[in-house]
Amino acid sequence: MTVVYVIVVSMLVAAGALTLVRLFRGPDTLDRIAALDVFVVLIVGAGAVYVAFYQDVSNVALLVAFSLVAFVGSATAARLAAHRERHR
Amino acid sequence: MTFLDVVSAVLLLAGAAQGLLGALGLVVLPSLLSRLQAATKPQTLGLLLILAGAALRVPFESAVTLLLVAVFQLITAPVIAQIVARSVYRSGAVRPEVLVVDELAQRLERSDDER
Amino acid sequence: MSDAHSGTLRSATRLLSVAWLAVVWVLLWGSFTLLTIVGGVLVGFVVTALFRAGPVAHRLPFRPVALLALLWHLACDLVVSSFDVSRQTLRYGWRARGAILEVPLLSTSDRVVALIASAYTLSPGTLVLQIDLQRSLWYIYILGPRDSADIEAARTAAMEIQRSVLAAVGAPEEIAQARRMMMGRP
Repeated sequence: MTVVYVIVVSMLVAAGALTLVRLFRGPDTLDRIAALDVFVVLIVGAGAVYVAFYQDVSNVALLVAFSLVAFVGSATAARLAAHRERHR
Repeated sequence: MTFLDVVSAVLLLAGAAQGLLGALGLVVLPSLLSRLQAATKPQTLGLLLILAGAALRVPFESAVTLLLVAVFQLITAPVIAQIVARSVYRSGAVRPEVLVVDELAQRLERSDDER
Repeated sequence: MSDAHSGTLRSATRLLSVAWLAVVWVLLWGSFTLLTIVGGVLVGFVVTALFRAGPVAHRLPFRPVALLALLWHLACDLVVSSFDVSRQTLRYGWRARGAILEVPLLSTSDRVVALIASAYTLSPGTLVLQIDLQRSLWYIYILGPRDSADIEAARTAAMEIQRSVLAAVGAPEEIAQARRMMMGRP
């Protein structure tokens, strides 16, 4: 069973690394915002994998809070970028 | 190892695979609009599968909270994609050479002629 | 619409939002005790009192079968579209193509348009780019079409989604409007 979790976590880490590539390469601000949003989703996913592996539910509320804060953050950043494009 | 554990393992694996494919799409696809597709769909499905896999292994109360995370993700993912997509056209990140047709550009040209 | 009628309509809408907020509250606590349920209802009342929703123009329809059909449709779409986007990534990668299409919009109601746009963004390889309410057109981006047959298929699918959203949540006036808008077009 542990093998499954090792595979799952390595896939998520690889996904995170690829997302970071897009985050650093850009080329657009909007690209980076999309990449950051994906990165946060991957972190929430990794948190859920942690919950499943240790069957430790003390962090579940944290996942809810994190996903909501992430949404507000991404939406604000995207709106700011959109606003800037309009006034260019 | 129970039956539920196996189902959970399969869901987690499928979810992580979708997340990885989505991240791959984010890197290799040619334009911002196509990358947004990779960022929204495989990622959403991947997170839902992972959450389902985790929900099977925890007590009912916590599984319900995980369900709440899934609902939030389903509501919020299209919103972000739409805010970004709306400003893509203005930002000039469309890259017309990777489009088969662009009827919005045709419309914009026509309305320029009318003026 | 008489005042008494719109009054009951508003309180019915408010009760619905209170119920929804209470459900979220109970889910957040993750326990089904009297305390969390009563607390959730109280929180719902406080929140709806603080943030008053805009007036609802007409009675919202409730069609469970059509709504379930829409949700099922969206769930299938999400799975299919994920695999579709992954396939495009693996097969074409850097050489993947897209298209921007102009599609007639079947409604001018904000609520329906917002729902259509969200539903459409979750469906296979597609995204809403821009909505032109004055001309009743919307512009969509599709990942993956390679020839005109693919493009026509995508157009048909976009109309199909609008119809199922309207069937699930459209008020009778909005459905009638959609039918009128369809008449004027080939």
